[in-house]
Amino acid sequence: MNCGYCGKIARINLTTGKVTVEALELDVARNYIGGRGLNMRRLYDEIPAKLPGMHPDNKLFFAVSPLVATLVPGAGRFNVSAKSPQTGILGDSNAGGFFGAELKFAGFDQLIIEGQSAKPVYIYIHNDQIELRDARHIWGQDIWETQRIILQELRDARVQVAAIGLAAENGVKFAGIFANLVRAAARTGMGAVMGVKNVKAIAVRGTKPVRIAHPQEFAALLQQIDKAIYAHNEFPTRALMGTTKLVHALNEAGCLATRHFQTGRFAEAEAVSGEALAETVKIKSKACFSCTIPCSRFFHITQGRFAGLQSEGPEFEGLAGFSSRVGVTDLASSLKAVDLCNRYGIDVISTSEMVSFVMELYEQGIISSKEADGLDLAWGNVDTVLTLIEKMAKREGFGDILADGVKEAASKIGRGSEKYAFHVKGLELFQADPRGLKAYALGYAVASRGGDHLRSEPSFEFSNDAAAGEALYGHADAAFRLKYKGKGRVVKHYEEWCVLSDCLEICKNTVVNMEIINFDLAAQLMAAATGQDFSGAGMQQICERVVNLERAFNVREGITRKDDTLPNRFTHEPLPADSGPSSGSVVELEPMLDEYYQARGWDVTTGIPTAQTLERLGLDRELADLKKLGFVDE
Amino acid sequence: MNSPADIEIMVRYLGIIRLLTGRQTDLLTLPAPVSVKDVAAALKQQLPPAVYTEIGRQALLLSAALHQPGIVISWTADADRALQSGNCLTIVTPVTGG
Repeated sequence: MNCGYCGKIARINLTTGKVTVEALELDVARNYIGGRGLNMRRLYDEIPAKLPGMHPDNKLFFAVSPLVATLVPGAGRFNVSAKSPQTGILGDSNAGGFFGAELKFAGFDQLIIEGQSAKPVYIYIHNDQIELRDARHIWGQDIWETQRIILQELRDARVQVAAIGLAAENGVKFAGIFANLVRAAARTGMGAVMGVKNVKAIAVRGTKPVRIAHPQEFAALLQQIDKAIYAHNEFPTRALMGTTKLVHALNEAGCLATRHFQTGRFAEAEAVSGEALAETVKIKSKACFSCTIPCSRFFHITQGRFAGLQSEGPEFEGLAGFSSRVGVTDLASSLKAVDLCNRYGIDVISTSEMVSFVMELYEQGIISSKEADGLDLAWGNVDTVLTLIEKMAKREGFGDILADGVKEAASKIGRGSEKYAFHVKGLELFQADPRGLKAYALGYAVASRGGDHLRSEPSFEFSNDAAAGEALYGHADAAFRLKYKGKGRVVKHYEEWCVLSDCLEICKNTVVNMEIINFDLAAQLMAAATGQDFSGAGMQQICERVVNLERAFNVREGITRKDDTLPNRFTHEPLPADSGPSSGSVVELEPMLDEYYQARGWDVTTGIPTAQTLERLGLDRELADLKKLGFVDE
Repeated sequence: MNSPADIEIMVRYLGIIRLLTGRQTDLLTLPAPVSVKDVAAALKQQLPPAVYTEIGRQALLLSAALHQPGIVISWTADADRALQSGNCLTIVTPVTGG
C-alpha cells in the first residue's frame, strides 16, 4: 500500500505518553476508503457501548484519505470522530483548510488519540516524529492566540494547527476543534473530548510526497474536474459569495430560520445578506488546500462599534444563526458574534440555537430576565447575544445551564421549555426551516450524528424536474421541495453521496452540491491514485456500508425509529402566512420515514437494519452484536 | 414622460447578478401589455452579454410589489405570463446545498 495511502496510523496514548505507529490494514482501507469511513470503523471497534463521551477512555480519531494532499479540488479535509459528549451517539465532524493535507504530508492516514494527559499538552507531529509538548502556558488562550504561540514556538509558519478554545477546556459540550483559526470541525462536541484529554492543540508539519499510481490518468481526471467546475452554473456564485448566498435564497423561498423558526421570512434579510457582506466588508476570496473554488472570504470592518474586526468567513450557518435566527439586523454584529464563537471554539449552529431558544422562552414567559443573570432577552439584542456566547464559553452563571446543549438545558429549565428545544438526538438544527425543504427535513431526522444537514444535503428536491424525479426516485414529487413522496429514496442516495465526500475528504461543494464528482468519477480517481480496481457501484456500496455501520453503532446506544424525529413545531405548526412560497407547509415525517427505511433495507417498525442488509454489506460482526443485544432476531 | 399605457416593472437583482452589475434594482418602463419575455428582452438590451447569460442560471420570483413574498416562475415556461404595473421580478441565486 504505497500509493494514495501513507499506510500508517499513529496511536498516541496520553496516559502513558507512548506513541505507536501501526500499519493501516488493507481490508479496512478497501472496505472503508478513509476519512469518515475509517473513523467509523475504529469507533465501532474501539469504543464500548454506553461509554460517556466525556470519559477519559473515549478516543479521538482523526483521518484523511488517499486523495488528500493531491491536486483534487477540495481534497484537503479531515474528519474527527469520537463518542459524542453532546448527543451520546456517534460524534463526527470535518473541516477544510490545510491541516488535513499537512497530516498526509507528514505520512499518516489516521491518528488515534487515547487516554488522558495529566497536564495540558499539545501534540507536535513533524513527519515521523511525534511528541507531546507542555501546553500549560497556552491553556486558557483562545483559538487565535493558541495558533500564534505555537507557530512562534516551533519557528515554522508552515505548521498547521488544529486547536481547542476556552469552551472546550471548560467542558462545553458543543465545543469544536478549529484548524487554520476558523476551519471548524464544530459539530457534536469533538473539542470537548479533546479538552477532557488535556490536549490543547495538534500541530503538524510534513514534507513527504504523496505517491500516485497512475499520474497521467490522474492528471487527466483533474483536468476534467476543473473544466466541469469552471463551466458549472454555480461556480461564479460560490467563488464570490460561498454559502452566504443562502441568506437571500432561503429568505425568498420562505424558509430562512427567523426568530427561532417562528416564521420563514426575515424582513431585514438584506442588511445581513451575503450580498451586503460582499459589497461592504469583504476584502478577497480565499480557497482551501488545492481547491479551485475560493468560496471563503476575508473581511475587515472599518466603521462602527466593531471597527477593526478582521476575520475569514462566515459561512451561511453562522451569518444567519446570528442574524435572522436571533433577530439581529446588523451585519457587523452578526460577524462579531461568529468571531466570538470561533475564538472561544464553539459551534455556531448549536450556539445560535441556545441564544434563540432562550429568547423564545423569554417571549413565551417561560423564563425571566432575572433567571438569565439580568439580561434583556428581547429578540435582536446584540449585547445579550454576545454576553450569552461569553457566558456559555466560560460556563458562567446562566451560561452554565446552556453549555451542555439545548436538550440538556431544556431538561434543567423544565416548565414546558422542551417544546422549544430544537434538536434531533441532542444535536441542534441549522438555519433552513425543514418545513420548506421536505427531503432536508427527513435528512435531519435520520442523520447519524443527530439533526444535521451535512449528512445528506438532498438538493435534488430543488431541481423541479418531475421526469427525473420519476426516473431516479420513483416519484415526480421527489423533485419538488414542498412535496414529500419519493424523498426516502432521495435521502438514501444523497446520504451515500455525502459519505463519499467525507470518506474521500473532498469538499461537498464539488461532490454533492455541484454534483461534479459522482461515484463513477470517484472510482476512477481512486483507481488512478491507488492502482487498485474500483467501480462506481462498488464505491456506493462502501458508502452504504458506512451508513449501516453508523446505524449499528447508534442502535447499540439504543437509537431506534422513535428517535428519528423532528421537533413538534415542524410537524404540527404550519409556516405562517408571511413565509411566502412556503406558507402553510408542515413536514409529513412518518410516511417519509417509512419510505426511507424501505429504501435502506431497515425494519420499518424499528428503524434497525435487517439481518439481510447487514449480511449483504459484509457487516457480520455488527449483525452478531445486534443479535446478542436483542435488537435483531436470531 | 411615460405614456398612460406604459407599465413599470421593478427588477430586483440578488446574488451573482447584483455583484456583477453593481445594481440592486432596475425600474423598467415598457409599453403595455407586458409579459415576462418582454422583460427578458429589455434586460438583454441593457446588460452585458455575459451577465445576461448568468440570468438564465438564476431563479426567478414574481411578486406583487418590491419586497413582497413572491412565487417561483420560469423565464421560459412563463414567458407569456402577463405582468401588472408595480410587479417585481426578483432574480435570485437558486437554493442549493451549502
